[in-house]
Amino acid sequence: MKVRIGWLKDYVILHESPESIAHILLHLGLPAEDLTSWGPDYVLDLEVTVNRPDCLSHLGVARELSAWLERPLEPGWRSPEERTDRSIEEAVSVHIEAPDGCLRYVARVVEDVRVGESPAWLKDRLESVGVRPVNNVVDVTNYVMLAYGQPLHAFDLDTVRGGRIVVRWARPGESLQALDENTYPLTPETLVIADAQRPIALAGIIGGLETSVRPGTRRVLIESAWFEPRVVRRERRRLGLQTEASYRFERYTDPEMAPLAADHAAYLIQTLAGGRVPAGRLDVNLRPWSPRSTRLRYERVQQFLDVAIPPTWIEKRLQSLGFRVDRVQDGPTPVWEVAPPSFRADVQEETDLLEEIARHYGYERVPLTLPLTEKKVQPDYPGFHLERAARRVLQGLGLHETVSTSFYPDRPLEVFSVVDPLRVANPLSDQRAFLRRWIAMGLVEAAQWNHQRGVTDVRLWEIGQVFWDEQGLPREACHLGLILSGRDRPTQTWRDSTRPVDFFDLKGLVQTFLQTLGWRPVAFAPSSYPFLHPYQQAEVQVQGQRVGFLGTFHPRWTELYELRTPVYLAELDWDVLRTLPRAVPVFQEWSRLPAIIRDVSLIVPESTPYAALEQALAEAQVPELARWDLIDRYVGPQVPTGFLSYTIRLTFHPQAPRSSEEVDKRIQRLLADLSDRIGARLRTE
Amino acid sequence: MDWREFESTIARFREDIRRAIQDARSESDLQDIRVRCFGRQRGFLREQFKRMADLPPDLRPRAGQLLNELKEWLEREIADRQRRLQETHLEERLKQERIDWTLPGTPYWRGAVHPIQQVRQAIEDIFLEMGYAVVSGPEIETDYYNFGALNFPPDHPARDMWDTLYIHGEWLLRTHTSPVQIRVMQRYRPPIRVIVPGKVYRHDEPDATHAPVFHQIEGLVVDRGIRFSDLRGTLAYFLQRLFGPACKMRFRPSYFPFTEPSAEVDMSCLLCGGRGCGACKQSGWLEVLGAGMVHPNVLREVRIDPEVYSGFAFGLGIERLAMLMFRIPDIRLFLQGDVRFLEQFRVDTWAFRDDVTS
Ligand SMILES: [Zn+2]
Repeated sequence: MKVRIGWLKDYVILHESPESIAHILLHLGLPAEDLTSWGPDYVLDLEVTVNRPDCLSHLGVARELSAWLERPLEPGWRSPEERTDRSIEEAVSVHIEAPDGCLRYVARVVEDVRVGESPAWLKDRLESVGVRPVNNVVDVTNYVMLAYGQPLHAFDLDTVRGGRIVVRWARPGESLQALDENTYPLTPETLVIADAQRPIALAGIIGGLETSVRPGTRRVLIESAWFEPRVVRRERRRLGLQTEASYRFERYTDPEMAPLAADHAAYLIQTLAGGRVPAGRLDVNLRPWSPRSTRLRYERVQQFLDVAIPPTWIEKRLQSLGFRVDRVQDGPTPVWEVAPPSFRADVQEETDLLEEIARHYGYERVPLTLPLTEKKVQPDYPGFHLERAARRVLQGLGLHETVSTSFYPDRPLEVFSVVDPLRVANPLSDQRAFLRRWIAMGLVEAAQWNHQRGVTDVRLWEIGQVFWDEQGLPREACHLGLILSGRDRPTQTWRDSTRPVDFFDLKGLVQTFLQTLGWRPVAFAPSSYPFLHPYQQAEVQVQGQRVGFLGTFHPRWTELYELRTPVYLAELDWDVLRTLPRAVPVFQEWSRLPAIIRDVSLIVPESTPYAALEQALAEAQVPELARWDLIDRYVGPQVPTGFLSYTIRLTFHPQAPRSSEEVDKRIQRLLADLSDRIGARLRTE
Repeated sequence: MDWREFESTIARFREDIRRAIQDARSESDLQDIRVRCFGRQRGFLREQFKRMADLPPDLRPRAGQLLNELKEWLEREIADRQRRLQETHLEERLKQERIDWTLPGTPYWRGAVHPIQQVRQAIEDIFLEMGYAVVSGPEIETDYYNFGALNFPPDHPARDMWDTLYIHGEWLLRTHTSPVQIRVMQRYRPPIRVIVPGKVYRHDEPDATHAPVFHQIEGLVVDRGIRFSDLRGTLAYFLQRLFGPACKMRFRPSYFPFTEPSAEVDMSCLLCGGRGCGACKQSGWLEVLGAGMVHPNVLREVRIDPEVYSGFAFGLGIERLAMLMFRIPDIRLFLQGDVRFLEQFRVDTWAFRDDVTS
């Protein structure tokens, strides 16, 4: 809302600098986005919050200043000079047939006008606040709106058929060509101003082209009405048509302003465009406004703001803002009945009055205190601390955290074979209408983004919500996604070369991550996710429960995404994972003796997965065996075709086998067992 | 054998061995010398002790003393030589182990926590210390939690302050973290003291300062006798903890449907310290928080009696703070996943917390 300081001075005496006026308004809740000079004058571009439509006018802003500066407010209402030989009823009649949409309609008529250019002062005022001058009649309606906040519309009364103004809902099939020359189809929910035959204006939004005031117009009908904010809002949203009028009507206009504004406009038209004004105004007022008072307790003011404001100050300030204040209880902590003025629909209860008092007393004068602290009363959300720990661990493992959008195009849905997607009804772009089903969708996009820019070392994690549809209901869950691509170390060095990361780097990462946070045992099982390489993927299990997947992004999609290297993905269902019990470390005594370590190379049929060997080792039940590690895997000329060799490092509990022979005996037994179970035999050099 | 011969044999041996020890170049040379001197079979000392029997008995104690002195001397000389040899060897080994320490060290992967999360954690920690709980809520909400219960009248222009993305029916993507206020108050009775971090969604065309997806932190305190001054004090404390004691705060009236009185909270510009610069449009102030006293209608909605209880709420945009703290010029950088962006935050900003709080 642009406000010209010279214009404000019509209503209140101001000798402060423009900067100090802007400063006062800022502290009253009307911050200026801009202060610009206009000739010798200044214009403020004020940000007016939606609860304060009364400040969408120069008078409203002046009222705030007059109260703050404790100077009188002079609205300067004027009325036209009326004819005695002709009354308005002879010229026009007004009928409200849609009381849900319009509670008050005031009409004034000016006849024998000479439509022409407005005087320089008026054009200058309009232009200074960003309104284009049209002609002296239209300019007056705009001027009165900017001055007093009441949107007006002027009709060429000679084009209003039957001299009838009917406020009604549009009928099926009706349409209207508006002032902007667009033709709008109307619905039965469109509130229109009609004449005897057809709509001539969209109520509160825009007038019709045919009935508009133009050069040659002789008789002017001034409309000054109160429209139901919701009705105006609904319709201007449907039409996508925001006007100065609809902006004010949908926020609430002052119903008591309607006749005053009509009179003032008629006066100005008469002054600027000549013309004669039939006696009286039509004022159809279906529900006359009456003040609703609210109780205000001084005790509450004092307690709530923690300041001692003199009660007389409160009374005076509220009165100067237009409130009626009646003291209903005297004494050091008085109680008042306060009735807000007709232009302050935002004030409905005591707390709203507290704001008025705080606003005018000054937010900055309210002291700084802290609530009387108590110990923590609510628990943190489940998994809060775990989530923080996960961040520390992943950061330590050398991954960057990323945060992605939740919106995706169709393609990732296809790639990730999402069968239960959730769609946004009004997406920002149809290109990205779907909510993510997997964190991996964003991670793959991040890999693409980086690969395209020549960065192929992509090691990222993200923790966040994923969404899906479950029998028509939107569902969401928290997932943790990981992605690896590129090299195994940040750079080749003068000593070591790099190698590409692979599935096992990711597997080790997932395992390390899970174990570091205390989850065990971690296991893997066969899986068949269609977006992963069919032979390079696994399900991740913790304590036997499925918690996610890991694998190589399917090469078909790697190509489609134009990824320069293979990409490895893992995703864990964090909401499941975080509920699984985690082990607190329990101190274990170790032996003073060195552990006995033996390496054995086994030959097994090539089709034997390592897991089978591990299982056999576990089931062999050699209690002295503390652990085993795979230290080599070999396929080649050193072993027969169709076989491969695993070299296992066996670590025995130091106390148990007392001699080398005893250890050998254990190994023999183990080998015999492995031979029985999986056909393994010792590899001889 | 007479005394003179005995004595001169020892003197000769002593002279020989002194030279031998001086010439010894390795541990094995020394070992040979040890054998020559102390060998069980033909060691010099052993032989001389045997020969003592040939001396007249009155000279034997002197001879014994002489031999013991020799033994001690030999042991000392050999040990000295051994030490010197060892030192020489070590020196040689160290020389061979010389490295060019100016060569680069081994690189390690260093991960970065996303700047949004770093700022979020910094804020959370300040409120955790004050006894707030960190709570969360769903990102897909109903119209009721996002608007209705928060005192947004249906079809009111206040809803335009938050352009909404809808799923279907009553379901929408939350436009702010405030619905969690309702969820918390439905679940717990006062006293309530929580903060709510989370992702929020707006139907906003993305540009350098607007993103359809961003993050907020919401705060809510409800108890008997919570005052407007408590809100001011809490936020002043918070801003000074986050930005240092020089940070000034400014409260000015504003409007949110779910608070009354409502305030916009500015802090003195981080970049110019309040003198005025491009970042603060020459005003010296930066808008960082929206806040206010919980509207009685919101309390009534969750059956908390506004005559007995009062509360305050506040909210801030994490991206905006992160942009100020790290001088990030464009909000779109946060969600791109660009490694060149993310890796800039490997520096652990926790290391700087001491500077701010001291
Ligand atoms: Zn600045």
